[in-house]
Amino acid sequence: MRMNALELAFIGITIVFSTLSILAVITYITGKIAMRFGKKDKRKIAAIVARLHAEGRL
Amino acid sequence: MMGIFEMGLEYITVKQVIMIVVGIVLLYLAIWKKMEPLLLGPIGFSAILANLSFPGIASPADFMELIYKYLIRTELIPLFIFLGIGAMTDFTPLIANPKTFLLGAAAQVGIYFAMLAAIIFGFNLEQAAAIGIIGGADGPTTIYTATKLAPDLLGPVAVAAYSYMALVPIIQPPIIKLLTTKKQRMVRMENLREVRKIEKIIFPIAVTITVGLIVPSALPLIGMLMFGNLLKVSGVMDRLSKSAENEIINMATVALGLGVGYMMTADKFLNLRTIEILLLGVFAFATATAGGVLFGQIFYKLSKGKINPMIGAAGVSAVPMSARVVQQMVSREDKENFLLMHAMGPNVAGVIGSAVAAGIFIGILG
Repeated sequence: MRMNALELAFIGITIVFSTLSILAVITYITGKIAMRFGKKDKRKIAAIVARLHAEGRL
Repeated sequence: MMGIFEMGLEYITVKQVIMIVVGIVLLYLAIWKKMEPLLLGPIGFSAILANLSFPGIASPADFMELIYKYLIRTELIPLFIFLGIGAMTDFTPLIANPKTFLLGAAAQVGIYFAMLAAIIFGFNLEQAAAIGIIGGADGPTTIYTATKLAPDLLGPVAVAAYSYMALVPIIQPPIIKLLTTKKQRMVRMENLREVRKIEKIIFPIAVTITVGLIVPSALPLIGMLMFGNLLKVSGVMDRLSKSAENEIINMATVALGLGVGYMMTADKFLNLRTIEILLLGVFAFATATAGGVLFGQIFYKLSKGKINPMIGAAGVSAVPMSARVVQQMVSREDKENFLLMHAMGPNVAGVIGSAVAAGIFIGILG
């Protein structure tokens, strides 16, 4: 059965919003995970620098 | 008659002369007014070329037809342009503030308003969809959709899309001003967070897979856009990335101009439908801008005044023109307020949104 213009508009807007909302959520979660690992990396580096300082090697 | 030598002058019609003038006007806008010169220039020149075709004597439209038939009708050229756009686009502002995806979605309402208006004007559903997509403010997407759904309208639809993209600085400010208060236009936003390289690499892959699973018919456009972006952000495919953003997109743009020009012959272009399409194009841009700003107002309220609603206007995609318009308007109210990067988020989200909207049309009507 052929869709009419109003149905097409409704379905179109709904899918565009759903798709971009899902992309927003995925991007947000990816960002959160990446930042957490980033912080861990930074903490590890800070710990190594502190140890080298303490040992007088820096 | 001059024996075996025949002049074009003997055969040229008034309609062809008018179309040559249209081509000259497009060249004037491109060269002197600097309105989308990379596209309106080739389209203008090829419109002249197409209307200097005299069957049996000389017909430049013949080779232009080949370009149209094998490069545009097969959708290759808009896809190569999307590859280049992907390689030139920085999605960092969107990755840093993913909620602006929703502003990019909101601005796509212009597509549907224009489609409904086109139905009222008497266009059929496929033609109305091709006209509506002008509201996505994305040239290659518009051409891709028109080629699939309403190839006869390709000429006027392409001219409307690129002309109005160039007119964004004139169309958008009054609408933005009408829908925002001075206080709202002065809102300063916090700096965007830093984005790590791994996020930039995951982004095009995640977008491709997600769109492929939800709207597979949008995948040719989105896939090429994201592939181009991956070439850029990976940092290890510089040669390919540079080719995509230079040689490939430049060649594709010339071919696109010639192919669209081929569709601008007097019999296809000079009719009332063209004027209606041009009117609907303005309507599409205006409603898209309004949709983005009104959704920006929701963000403003929900964030308790921390998000400037004007950035919603950048959701119409026209990259980076509409984001620049927002920055210019902000600067007029507060010279030290820098919103360009915040506006780039919805701006690049709009590119994805309009490609998804095009995919939905093609999936349902194509």
